[in-house]
Amino acid sequence: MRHVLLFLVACCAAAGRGQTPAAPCASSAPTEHQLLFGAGRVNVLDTYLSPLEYAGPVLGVVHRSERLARWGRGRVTVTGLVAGRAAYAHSPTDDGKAWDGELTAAFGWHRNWHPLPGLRLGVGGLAELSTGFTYNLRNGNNPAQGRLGADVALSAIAAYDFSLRGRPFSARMQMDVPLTGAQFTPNYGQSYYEIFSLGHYDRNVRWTHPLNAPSARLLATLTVPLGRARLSLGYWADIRQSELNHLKRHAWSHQFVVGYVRRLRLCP
Amino acid sequence: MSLRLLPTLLRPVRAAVLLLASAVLTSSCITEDVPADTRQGNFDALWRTLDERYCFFSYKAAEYGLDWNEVRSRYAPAVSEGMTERQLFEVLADMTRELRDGHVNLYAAHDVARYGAWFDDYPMNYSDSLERKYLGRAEDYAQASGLAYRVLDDNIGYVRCASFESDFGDGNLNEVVLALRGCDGLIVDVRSNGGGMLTAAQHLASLFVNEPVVAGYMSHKTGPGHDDFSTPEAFMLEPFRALRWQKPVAILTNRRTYSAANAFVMYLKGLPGVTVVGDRTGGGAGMPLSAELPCGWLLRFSACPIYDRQMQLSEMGIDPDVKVDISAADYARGTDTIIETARALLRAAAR
Repeated sequence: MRHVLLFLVACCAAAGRGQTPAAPCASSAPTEHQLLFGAGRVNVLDTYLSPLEYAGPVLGVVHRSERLARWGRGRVTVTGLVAGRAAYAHSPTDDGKAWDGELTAAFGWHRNWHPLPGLRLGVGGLAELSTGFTYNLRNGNNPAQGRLGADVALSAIAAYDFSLRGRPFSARMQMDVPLTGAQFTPNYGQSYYEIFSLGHYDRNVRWTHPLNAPSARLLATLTVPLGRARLSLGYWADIRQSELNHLKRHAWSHQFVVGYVRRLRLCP
Repeated sequence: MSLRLLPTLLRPVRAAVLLLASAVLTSSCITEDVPADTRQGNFDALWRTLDERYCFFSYKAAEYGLDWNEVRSRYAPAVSEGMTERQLFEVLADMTRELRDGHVNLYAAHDVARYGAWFDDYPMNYSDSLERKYLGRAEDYAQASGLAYRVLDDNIGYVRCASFESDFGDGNLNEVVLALRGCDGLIVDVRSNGGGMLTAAQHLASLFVNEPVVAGYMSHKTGPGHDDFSTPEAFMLEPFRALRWQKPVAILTNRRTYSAANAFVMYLKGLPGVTVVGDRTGGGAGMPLSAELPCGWLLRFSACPIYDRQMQLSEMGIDPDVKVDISAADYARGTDTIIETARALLRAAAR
């Protein structure tokens, strides 16, 4: 694992070099891109498949972009985020194994304030789409659970740019909490055969809110200069939970992330 | 920027943070309350999983007086922390057999608990030695997508379908019908077919209908209560898109005709030109799902009941139109009484 992380750090340092110089089109606002690779642990529960919690290693990737909106007099930023993770988890007794995967895309806006030099606080909303699956390797007619959902999330950002010995550092934290949305789920004892082979639908799209699907995503990074590159290190927590149609589900993913930040300007 | 403006500027930020925090704090972690991995804990987990998810409690209470709470009271004293894993397995296996359901199984490393009285208490009515006499040697019959078939010497087609574990190809089914199209009647032998995929059973059954017919009804549990069910919804048997069988057909059954094979019989019984010959089927009208116990044993149980087109459950089996057992004398003579009965019926229908 140590070698993998060192390799990732080296790759990220190389990739993060050579930012587009600002001078040729200084009037256009830069877009900040952050690409992060993660490794950590996940704990998965899906009572449609098993009442037991499965745990195991998880690998993930996050791409985040942020730029000033063309409106909002410089106070509004546009944020995009695409995240994916895959895990291989096992039951407490190691008799059961499962693959778990999740892909999320989010897009939204933040209204920003700069209360102190270098400090930026932002509050906004994201529209999120997510899909995923859990595939249990030992079940018969209920081997897998598919997931598809859309929600609107409240998002908050705190970012602080500072210098140490004349070198630019940046600390950034973003937290997103889904407020309302809709999610696909089978009914309590419903088989996928009924849904997809017979076309029998029964409360398979449910309204979600923080009481029946309390979820959150936290991405905290420290970006440090490394040569001409800007290397990011941080922590990514992705907490997805739901209790719909008497079926409980959670996927608690905690990952250490490493990556790079680039600021690009789109010149006319 | 003046620091005096800071509180004003931070007001919306503070409100958002408070909203975020309250959303997170008012909602708790979603977890499942699973008993500990002890002898008692595993007993409780098995009883509760079936209590909440098994689908035939009310039906079996009416059929033979099943009382799941009484079962718990009767078996609980047999569980102690000093017992071995195998002893616990025996107790749990016996408890699952109270459900009289071939779809309820407990899988441990050393054994699979299963209920077999639905076939063990009855004549076998099938012999692979007799089947060999009718099908002949490997070069005497054809095999397509798991179906073994040939023309018997009285011009009756014979198709042996031993399993629905995998689906049939359209081309394969078309070729089987094409090869047997000149026969006066057709025997489809699903004796000792333990089931598999419902879609495969529907696919084979689609050879025998010329227009969509209601194949049955299906429902599922909508909550943990014994009677929490969705309204049963009809599902259709669509006609096969290529060559279909238009002459009389006899379906051969025995007590080991189970699950998807039982459904195959259910789809076709009562349709014009279809005669079910042999013994009562084994049943198995609940699609099984799986769960796990804290010790890691896998539990399978019936979860989604399937009803016939009269809205009756065939969980305990389907009676044939013509009840026949293979007689001891016929076993000795090397004659399959059930096949011979079907042949006679089909020859008579062809005249």
